[in-house]
This record gives sequence, structure tokens and C-alpha cells, in this order.
Amino acid sequence: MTMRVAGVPIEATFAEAFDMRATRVIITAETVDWARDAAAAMTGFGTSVIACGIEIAVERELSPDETPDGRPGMAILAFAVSSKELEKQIPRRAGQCVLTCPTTALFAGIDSDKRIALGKQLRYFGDGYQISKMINNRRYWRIPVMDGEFLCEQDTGRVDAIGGGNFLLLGRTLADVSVACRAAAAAIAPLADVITPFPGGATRSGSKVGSKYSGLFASTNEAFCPTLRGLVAQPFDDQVKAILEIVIDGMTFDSIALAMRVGITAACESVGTDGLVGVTAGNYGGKLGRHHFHLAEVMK
Amino acid sequence: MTGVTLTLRTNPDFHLDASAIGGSLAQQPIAEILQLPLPVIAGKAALMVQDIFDALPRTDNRVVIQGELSRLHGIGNRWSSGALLVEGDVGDGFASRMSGGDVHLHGNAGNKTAQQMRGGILQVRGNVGDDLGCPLHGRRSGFSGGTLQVVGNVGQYAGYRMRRGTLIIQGDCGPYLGCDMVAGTLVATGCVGSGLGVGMHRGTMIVPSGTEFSDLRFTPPESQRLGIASIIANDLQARLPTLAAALRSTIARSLGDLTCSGRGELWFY
Repeated sequence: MTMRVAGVPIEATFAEAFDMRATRVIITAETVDWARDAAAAMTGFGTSVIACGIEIAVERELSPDETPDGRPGMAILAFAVSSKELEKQIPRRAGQCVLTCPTTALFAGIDSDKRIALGKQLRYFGDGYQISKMINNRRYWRIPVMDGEFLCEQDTGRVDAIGGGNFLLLGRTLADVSVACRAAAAAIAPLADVITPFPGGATRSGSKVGSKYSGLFASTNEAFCPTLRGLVAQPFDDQVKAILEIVIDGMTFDSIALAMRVGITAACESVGTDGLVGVTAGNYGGKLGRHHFHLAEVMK
Repeated sequence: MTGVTLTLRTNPDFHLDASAIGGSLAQQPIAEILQLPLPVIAGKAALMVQDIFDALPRTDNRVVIQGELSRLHGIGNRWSSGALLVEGDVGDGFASRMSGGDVHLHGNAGNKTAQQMRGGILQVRGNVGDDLGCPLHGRRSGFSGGTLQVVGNVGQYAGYRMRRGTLIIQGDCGPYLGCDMVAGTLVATGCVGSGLGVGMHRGTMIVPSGTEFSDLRFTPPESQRLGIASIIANDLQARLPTLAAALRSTIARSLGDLTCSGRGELWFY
């Protein structure tokens, strides 16, 4: 029997996700606006590892009593397919987007023996005037800048994580599926340990591996493009006029499963069967990623 | 093992090297502790712990030493793990080269307390002599890690060539506090003697506003609000809540010692 949420059928399939490497950093600033600005800059162009190198987004806003220096802050999660890419991208983004932003400071957001450099690299901007401070076995760098000092922790932790949890919303109209998608992203946003790295939490450009063009790693998944109905084989009927996908990266299997359940529930309840024809998930037949999120189990 | 209480039975007439009462004593059985040597300083004789101490097992894991111990020097030497409580005055070199664990002294200590300490937590509820946290003879660095708190007064040259860690002095300080300081954080909440920060290379000294310093050696104090002050305040919150609150607002900061191109800093709160 088909599982339904608010009457919307949930397809008996699974989302296929991959091993990734992840880190968390905390940006603080004198005001929440500066913290948001720095976070927006640091997480820019970070939707997909296909071309951005990493998938990075704000995990959540932090109140002053949750941050190391008692100021408003933002927790940012970043995911990459390799440690090397993470080690390249994080210092680069921190240097150009956080160091440059007025009043900000940057701290580690996760503990692990494996480390990603922050101040360890950025300190050289101090040109010899930087100051190292070791407090409770954590090293901080104080780099003189025009508004005072940029305070930056030596490094942050790196952990194993999972990227590519997903679900697809099959809509009767673009307007309907857009509303459902926004509801799903809003429901997932407060959850810890997960991010939805695409714009607004959703993507319309679901992709398949490879292309007819030799230089491309990925190309449009024609099987899910309603405008190609009749031209290519498609796994849904003609009631489906638009599809949007929510992609979720998370620190653990359980955190992604929870986000999928919360997101699917919110999407279905927002527009019901008047707006959604069904919910499905993207996979590659289970051959590429070892983490399988079966919708039937996730929604239990 | 369980802990032990060592109570001084007889106060020796001569000064003893008690550095054997240290190291990994907390892991040693009582029978072994009683056999530890206590050489007479400037003499050929050596006593053993059992000659002057009574030992009783404890139900907890602490090592507790009681008595008038001012003729015993080097107690807590190389202390590396476990808890040590000393109740009574001790001689020189208390907790020298300490590298870990938790050491409390309820009494006064002599000179060269915590020399070249590099880890752990040491609290002295009493006064301390000269050269607190100084380097061992011939070494470059003094206090190099951990937290060292003195509730009472200290003599001259406290924090000499200090290199890392947090040194807190809640009483008054003699002259040359933080002399030749290399790094770390030194907090003094009482009166501070002359020669503050002479030869200071780097590091942070936090002293009350109004503390005298040489304007030839340090830049004029300037009001600043520093992010790192909040982190240090978090570290000091439990021990010095009033100071922690002050650090979270604006402080006055001087840099020096300019005579040796130092980049140390004095914070006045």
C-alpha cells in the first residue's frame, strides 16, 4: 500500500547519498547584521561540489550566549568530497569573506583530531604584527586590521559526513511546487547538523552523471524535465508540470533522515494533493553511494 | 591505588630535598612511598619518608601532606597526574617542573615555586617567595603551561621569562613582575612593584588601572575593545568574575617593552 502524507503519495524509492568530509566554523560579529554579511559571503558559490568545490551554507544563527566571545554569530557547515578540497576552500573563503568583513571573528565549530587551518594560514596577513594566544589548549591568532583586531582560531575540526540526501517534489504547477518547496526548506532550516546548500534550499536542475559533451561531469536529467514529455521516457504521468529537489548534506545519517522527514511532511501539508502529485527521491540504482535513505523508512 | 595522607611526625632540624615526593606519587603504593629517599641538603645523610611521616590510606585518590613542611624543599616536583593537597607551609621549589594534575597548597611557599611548570593546575592559598614560575638554572623559559594561581602575595621576579599558560596573582607583587616575559597571560589584581614588564618580549599582563609603568618602555595606554579579551574572560570567569566582567568591556592597552623591540601588552582594567 502506498504511503501518503496529507494525502500525497510517497513513492517507494530511496535517496542515494555519498561519503563526504565536513567541518563547521562559527562567525561572530559586533552585530548580527555583520555576522550575516560575512556568512553570506563565505557561503556564496557553494551549492554543489560539481563546480563549486564545496557545498557550504549557514546551519543556523547563534545567540550571544552560544558563541565563544559572547557576540551574535552564525554556524556554517561545509562539505567536500575530499579533505584536500576542504583544506583548500575553507582558508580561502575565510580569508576573503570573514577577515575582510568589519568586526568579525572566526572560531572552530567542531572538535576532531583531524584539522582544517583557519588562523594557521590567515595569520600571515598580519605581516609579523600578528599575536598568538594559547588559552585552554586552543590557539588563537590576533591579526591587526583597520577596525582593531581580527580574532581567528588556529584551526577547526574535520569529520566524516554524508552529502546528497534528497527528495523531489512533483508539482501540479510551478507555483504549487514552489510553495511546497519553500515550506520544506523552512522546516529544515532550524535543524542542527544539516544544510540545504542550493538557493532557497532547492534546486530545479536535477542532474545525471555525465553528458553527451565530453567536458561535462553532469548534465540535465531529462527524465525529470516536464518539457521533454513524449520525447524521452519519464517516470511520472502528465499531471506533473514542475519538479523541485531539496538536497540535504548532514553530519550523520540520522540528521539527514530527520531533515527529510520534516521537509517532506512540511511540503505535503503546505499544498496537499491540490499542489503535489507525489514525492520521490533521486538515486543511481544504489551503485554509487553507500547511504540509502528509503522514503518509507524515513517517514516512519 | 587509593590515596594516602602523609602527616609530618617530627619537624627535621635540617633542610631536606623532598623532590621524591612528587612525580607520579599518586600512582604509587603506600609501601613504596614510605621508602622514598629524602636526602639532607648540604649533607651526606638521607632519610626516608617513613622516618618523619605517618602514612594513612584514604578512601579517595588524593595525596594529602600535612604539617610544618618549610624545611622540605621540592615537594610536588615533576607532579604529572592526580590530585595533591598540601596543608602547611612548604620550602623552596614547590611543584617545580609540574606537568599535569591538580595541586593545592593551603599554606605559604618559599622561593622558586612552580619553576618551569608546564601543565596542570596549581593553586596556592598563601604567600609565595621570589622567582615564582622562573626557569630552571640555565634554561630560557619559565612557566610554560597550565594555570597557576596564588591567592596571597608574591616576591620579586614573579613570571620571569614566562612563556605560556595563565598565571594569576591575587595579592601584591614584588618588583619586576613579568620581567623578560616571552608569552602567556599574567594577571595581577593587587599592588604591583616597580619594574613592571621590564624586557617583556610578548605576552599579556593584566593589571589594575593606575598601576605604575615606565613610559619609556611602554606606549601610552589606549582604550580598546579586543575580541581576545572575551576569550580570556571566559577562562577567568570562575576564578575572578569581577575581572572577567571588566575584560568584556573596554580596557586600556600599552605595548612594549620598546627598549628591546618587545610586542608584549599591558592591559589596565
